[in-house]
Amino acid sequence: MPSYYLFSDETLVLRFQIKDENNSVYLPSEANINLSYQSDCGVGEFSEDQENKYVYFYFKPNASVPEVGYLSLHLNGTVEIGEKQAAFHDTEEIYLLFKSVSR
Amino acid sequence: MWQARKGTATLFRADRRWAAIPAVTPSLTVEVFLKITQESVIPTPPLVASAFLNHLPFFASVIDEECVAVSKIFKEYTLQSASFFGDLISLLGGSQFSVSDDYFTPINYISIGSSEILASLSCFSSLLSQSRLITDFQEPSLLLLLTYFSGEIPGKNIYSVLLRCNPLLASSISTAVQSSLLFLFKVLISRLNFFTTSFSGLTSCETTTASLISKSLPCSGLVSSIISHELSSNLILFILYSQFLNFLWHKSLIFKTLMEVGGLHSLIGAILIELSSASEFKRTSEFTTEILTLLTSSIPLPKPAIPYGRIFFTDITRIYKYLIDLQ
Repeated sequence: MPSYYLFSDETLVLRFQIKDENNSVYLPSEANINLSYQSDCGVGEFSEDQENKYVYFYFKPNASVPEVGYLSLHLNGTVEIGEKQAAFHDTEEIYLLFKSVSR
Repeated sequence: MWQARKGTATLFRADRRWAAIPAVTPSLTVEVFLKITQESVIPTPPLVASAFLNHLPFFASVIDEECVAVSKIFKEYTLQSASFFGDLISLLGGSQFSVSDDYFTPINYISIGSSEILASLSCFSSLLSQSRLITDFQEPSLLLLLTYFSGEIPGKNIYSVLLRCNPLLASSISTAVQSSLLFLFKVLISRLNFFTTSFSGLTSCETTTASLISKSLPCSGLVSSIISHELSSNLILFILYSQFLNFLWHKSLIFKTLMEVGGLHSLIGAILIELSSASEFKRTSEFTTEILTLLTSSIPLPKPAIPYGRIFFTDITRIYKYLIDLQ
């Protein structure tokens, strides 16, 4: 489980890709994939880089943050194949280790 | 430094995931408006071979084995067609087009009974020389049709040639059927001749008269003359050919019907759908769309790509230099 240090007034920017076993890259907007997140210490926003097929996640900590917080990213996709539906899901858990703002 | 270690760990984790995921069958990625009705039947190669052989009493007792043999014939036809298109490619001057090597994989054996017999190169060279004499074979789409029957899938370059031969697609159904049948028969007859003289101990019979042939052949003058010449030296082949011809023309169970009901387009669409999951076409969706649009007169429905296996986060990297900030 990855962990990142950041200041409480710092925006955490993560870049990632969504792939399948064939190494094909998917963008949420093009492949009916929903991205969501959960956190106990801030709010975030997803953004797509259409050209390079990257997804960015911008995370802004709350004004008051614990010493250690968490962030979990979720992807959910449902694809219809004929009359069948195939569901995809993945989660990435991330620890956030906050530093004091007094730099 | 710390970030680099983290990135590496993330990649390793992705690799482990990748290796742990079981393989699944790839899914289709293209949906096409095909003019398939309940009455339309897309014959499979075994179905065609079986229907053909059922009509020929000569083969009635060895259906299974000869189905395989006829399948080989169709493959051979495909091979000849590919060669023909190789010439066409040269004529068109398109140096970017070439018939793929795997398309020329030699089908150099046939199954007779329980034994496989290697056909001589001279036999195939003879077939080649004969097929080159056909000058009115102008229907490239039939290549796809027969290719479908034969179970062979042409390469992308074949479809490229088809695109460049677009005006030829407008030729009438009868011309297309006739010219393509001629080409098929040339190969078929030569192959049957190979069967009878090499394996069945049957010798050529030169008793067929021109009038008999002219009465039985419903083709046009050029077609008749070429086939008549081919058949005039072998009565057995003539009988086989006549039965086959009646089967095809008067019952119209295969080529003619297929074309009249738009089944050819359906076949090509089916082929392309198969190709859509093949590795060669992974990055040529524009090409597939183009050919589908041309051949089916409709635009393929855009559908999101269906993931292969499962999908997951990967290559998570922290970015320190960024331009966009939250409001």
